[in-house]
Amino acid sequence: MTTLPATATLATGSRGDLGGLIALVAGRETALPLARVSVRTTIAGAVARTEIEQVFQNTLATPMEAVHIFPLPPGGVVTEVQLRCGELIVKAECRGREEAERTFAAAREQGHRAALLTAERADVHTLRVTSLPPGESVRVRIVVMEVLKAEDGAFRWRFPTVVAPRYMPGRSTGRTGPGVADDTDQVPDASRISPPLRLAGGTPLDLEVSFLGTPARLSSSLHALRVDLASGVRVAPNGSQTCDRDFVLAFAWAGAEGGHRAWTDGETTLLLVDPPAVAASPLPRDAVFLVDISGSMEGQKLNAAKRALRTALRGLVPGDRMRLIAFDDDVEAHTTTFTTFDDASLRAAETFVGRLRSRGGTEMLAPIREALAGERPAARLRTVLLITDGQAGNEEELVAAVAHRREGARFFTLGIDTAVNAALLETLARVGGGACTLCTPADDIESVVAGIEARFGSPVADEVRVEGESARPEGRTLFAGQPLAMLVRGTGATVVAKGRTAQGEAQWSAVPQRAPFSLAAPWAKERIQWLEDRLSLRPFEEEAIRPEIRRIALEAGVASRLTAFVAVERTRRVDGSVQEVVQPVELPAMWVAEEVATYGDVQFAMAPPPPPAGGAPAPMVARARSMPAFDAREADDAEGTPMMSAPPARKSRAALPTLARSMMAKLAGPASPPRHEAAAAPSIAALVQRQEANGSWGNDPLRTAAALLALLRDGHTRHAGLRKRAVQKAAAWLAQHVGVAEVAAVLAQLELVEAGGEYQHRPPSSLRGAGPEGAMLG
Amino acid sequence: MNPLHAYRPRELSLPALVQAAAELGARLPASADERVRAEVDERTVRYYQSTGLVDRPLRYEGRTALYGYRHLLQVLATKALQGAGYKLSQVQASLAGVPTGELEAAVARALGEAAAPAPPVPAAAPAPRALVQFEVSPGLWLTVDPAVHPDPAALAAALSTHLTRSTP
Repeated sequence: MTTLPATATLATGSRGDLGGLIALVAGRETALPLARVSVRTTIAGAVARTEIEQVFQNTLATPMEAVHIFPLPPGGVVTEVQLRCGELIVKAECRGREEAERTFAAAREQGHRAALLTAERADVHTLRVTSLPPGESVRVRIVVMEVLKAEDGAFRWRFPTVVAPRYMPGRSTGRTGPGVADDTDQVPDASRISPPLRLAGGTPLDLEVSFLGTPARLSSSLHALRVDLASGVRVAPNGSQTCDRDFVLAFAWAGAEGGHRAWTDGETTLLLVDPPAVAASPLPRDAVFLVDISGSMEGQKLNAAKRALRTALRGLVPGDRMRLIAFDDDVEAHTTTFTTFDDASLRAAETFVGRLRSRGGTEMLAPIREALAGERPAARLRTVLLITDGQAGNEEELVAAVAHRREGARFFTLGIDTAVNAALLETLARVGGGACTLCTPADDIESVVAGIEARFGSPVADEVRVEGESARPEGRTLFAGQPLAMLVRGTGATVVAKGRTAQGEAQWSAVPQRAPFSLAAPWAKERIQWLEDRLSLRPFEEEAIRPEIRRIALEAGVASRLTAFVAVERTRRVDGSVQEVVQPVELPAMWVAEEVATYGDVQFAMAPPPPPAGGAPAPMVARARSMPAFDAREADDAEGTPMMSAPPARKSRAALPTLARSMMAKLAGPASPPRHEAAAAPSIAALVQRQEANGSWGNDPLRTAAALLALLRDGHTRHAGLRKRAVQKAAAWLAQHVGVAEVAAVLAQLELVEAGGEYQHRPPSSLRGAGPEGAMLG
Repeated sequence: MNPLHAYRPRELSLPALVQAAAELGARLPASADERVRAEVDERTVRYYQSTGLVDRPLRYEGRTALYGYRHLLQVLATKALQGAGYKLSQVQASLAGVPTGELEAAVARALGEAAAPAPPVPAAAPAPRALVQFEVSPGLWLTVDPAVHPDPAALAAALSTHLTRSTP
């Protein structure tokens, strides 16, 4: 082929016309390959079986290879893949990854239609469909088995639909995968987990959940629900949806409150250990709070994070010490050492929180190291609470950092996002000896943090083991409010777990019910996950661990990082070179596109083009699609950062439509608030904000007694309601002032209500006149 | 001589791609908003790339990404359509995977090469047939109708390879 001189000069003058280009655009509505996604889930007991169907179309005039980088629940495992070409169904085989890739490449070479499913991470998967003939479509069906998470009295099924943009730290090393980020020295597979960003529109999502049994208390924080009772119970998001956020479904089984439960398929048994409701007497804590203020947190996510942080700070008790560290690509520590938790340090910390603004990339390694650094005094428990969306690509590095530096510390994670990186946050908590809690910016953050507070400290039991060949052979940790799911080979009349509690050895057992699904794949998934956790802790054992992962995955026929599914349809051949198209995916709901741009140019090429001098329309459209998750209470939060505190230039972003707010109010319904919460919430929130670090109000017994009474009247005790901590601290402080008659009466009333009695105290005028707290009793 | 052809066999670093796009872009039909077209820089190309408007680089030499002809066509096509008032999202949805030959024909025409200048065609009108020209060997030109041969570039490349081999 000829090579013209590089300096070929351009003729000036004559200019062409755009007819050809316009014809390309006008000729087709969309050339994107992914036409729609449908999800059908059946939930029975603590197991979900999900069938996902992805439909790919080729609107081009040439054969196409479609690539879709998509997420699955990190606890789920692919057990079956089918390629469906019209009436023809080809079942995929589970093979070693390299072998599957070779088979797929050979099919492409021969012009055969083929599908390849690979797992890049616990959650991120890639589906390739090749030799798709012009004008035709194929469907790929994927079956996923998953053990559900249970938390605070409800099961949670969180189904992700989009891989959010993740920050990729490190220096570029080229690109090996189909994604848009360069691989780096810190994230060697960045190009496999970074789908292109879709600028407008979305892939229609048709999702429906059916229950084998009767669920109660159904709720979903990111979707309005449509419940169909015609044949069994079926639940679906209301209205048309696209793949732009997790589907988060919480429910409980009717008539099955608490208690240990077990299911068996005859060969494998699943035991759910329900943590006993004992109040642990925790060691004094050295509590580190790590909060992510990177660009991806901008907007409602950061507001939710701040709210969580302020609530968690008030959960500390006298005797605790604290450190506050905010991070983006820079670490901003409030203090360089631990400070004693008292009124002055609490105020200073709250001021620090109020001033936090979102900025750059998500460099999590340095702050994690910082949080686990320094002296560990005996008789003090180091706890870390990481509040983040988890959108960083260097997961292995982060997991290793926590695993290696833990030394008895307890590492907790609170994930806040519409498309949270659940895999990372669950793994960090697992290797960090802590617990992971996931929520959305639309959740009631205070009740979420109340749940964390119950776990934040010593666990209920340690060294929990189930009898038999456990999928995770090491001793596990049991935290308050989070039942522990344990998978074990074999079955029997009862299944037994043992563990160590503060009171000594404990034993829990349950009689297994018949499971409607095979539990072999969930067992294999759990074992693989355990081996991968081990690998991050002991990388030098790689040569022993990797073949073991491969063996288990092949034996059970499940996808893993070392195994893949491949299906080839050999009855037809298409001619011509295959054009690859990588499906662009949506920016998750509530993300602010402009802030993602601050991820930087090289690692994360999300930067929008510089605004043209005259201000042509900005190309990013995500802002207009921001979700209506306005937390109305934020504005009432006496000392909170007001929602509208964004710099003037961004005002329009914060001003959500009224319609959206009212929609959100409807959505927020399900999390049943305590008695009188609706009316009393603002004043109770303000009341709690005024509580001193020592638990009192103004160091005044009468004001404190009045405040406790107000809390009690609103349904909060030391054991129930969102304000347990506030009540506990107030009661502890008042115990030193029982000489005051009003104090003794209020404490007696508290004990009466806690013992199941009715609130019936008529506050004397001395209490009603005690400051602003007394005024609330009027 | 069609200035696009100079770039067919070349690999371009990002700055070279930007420069080529800027030079050729100057020949695109005047946009209603002149400012839209004025900006082709490295950030723009990276942004296009992160949305799939521009394919991933051909390959890397150390840390340097190398781009090719198709990338240049994608930048020019995107810029031209943006200048004509199309949203980037429309361009993203409709140009994904369009074969290089079709893209080349349309861009060449936009540069005033393969077709005579004509008043802008309304969006609904069918595209006039565009022929594509290649110099397959010095002095030997090949004209292809993309409606008959869906990938003219590949055809030209094959012919060119064949000629090179059979020439003693």
